[in-house]
Amino acid sequence: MDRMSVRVIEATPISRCKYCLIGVPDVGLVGSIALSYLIHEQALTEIGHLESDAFQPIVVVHRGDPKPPCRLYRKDDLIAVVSEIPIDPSLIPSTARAVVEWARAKHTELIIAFSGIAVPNRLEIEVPAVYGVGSSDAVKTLLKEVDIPLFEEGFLVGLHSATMTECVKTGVPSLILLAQAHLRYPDPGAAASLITAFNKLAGLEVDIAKLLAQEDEIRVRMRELMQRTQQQMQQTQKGREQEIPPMFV
Amino acid sequence: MWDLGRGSLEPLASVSETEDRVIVEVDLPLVRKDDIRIRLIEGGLEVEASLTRCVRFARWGTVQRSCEFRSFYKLVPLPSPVVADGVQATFKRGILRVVLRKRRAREHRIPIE
Repeated sequence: MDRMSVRVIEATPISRCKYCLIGVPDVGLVGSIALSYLIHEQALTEIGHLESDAFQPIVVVHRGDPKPPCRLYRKDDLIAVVSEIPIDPSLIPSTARAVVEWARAKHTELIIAFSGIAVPNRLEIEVPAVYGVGSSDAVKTLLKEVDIPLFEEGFLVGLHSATMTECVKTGVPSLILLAQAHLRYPDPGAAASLITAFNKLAGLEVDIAKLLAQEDEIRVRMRELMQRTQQQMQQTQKGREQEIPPMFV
Repeated sequence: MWDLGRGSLEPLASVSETEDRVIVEVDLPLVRKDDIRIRLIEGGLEVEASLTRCVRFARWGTVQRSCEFRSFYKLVPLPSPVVADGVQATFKRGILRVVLRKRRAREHRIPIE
């Protein structure tokens, strides 16, 4: 087995999945905050984790139980893949491959990466907008149907972009949801916008009121993860997302 | 990012520069504008703010679980010398933004031979 390979370990075997959501520490921690909230509010249960010989030797202890930091949760046909630590840049391609291969084997209808896009005027924005990047015309049509505008030009850097590349290659329908967010500070408001967008896509009614009410508390408690994520984002040239890509008219 | 002795948490902060300004941003959730104290001192910009309520990490670690954090404290090192005059500070949605003017070096014209 290649030392760098990543594997999805199912503690509870599953056969099918409609939506596979991915949220890892990134811009404003919005994917992590949104999926943690969704898991809690919708009562998803833990069904597995990611493992690799190349992962740092870290366990997270919750209520006395040691757990791997990258875990899978499920409720009905909804799967959430979350990580409590930033993904090491050298492991992003193999992590994306493992998750997409696994999702494909489970006949996943749509992989959705929850993420943020940093905007310099975030303080002036009351309700952050959410943009979408679809892997196919069918996914773009779906975005249009629920009034989620397309992210039309720009660089994207991170696990969501590696996942998208893998999905385009293998033909798995995929979508990146990007909420306008703070780059360097945890942004629960942007996470709430992601949940609202997912509500529209999946026909759910997850209430974001509690998330917004806990906004300050979440910002206090996520400072350290944000700081570590910032260091990781520098390694992945995350700053590229603020650059104008070359365009040929 | 915490100091048990002081009972303080270290806030997230960022520093950027323009040609003539240094801009410091500090994330201060659970803080009121009137409870922030900013001082320009030799080592940088000192920011201290009391929290609107104590924060306790009830199940975390061993000693920390019994500790309550009551404030934020951070000394932000500045990348360039600044002047104390004309400092602008704003606080919006829990983010403090301080704009400081850089001290200008004395100008010397360099002739081209």
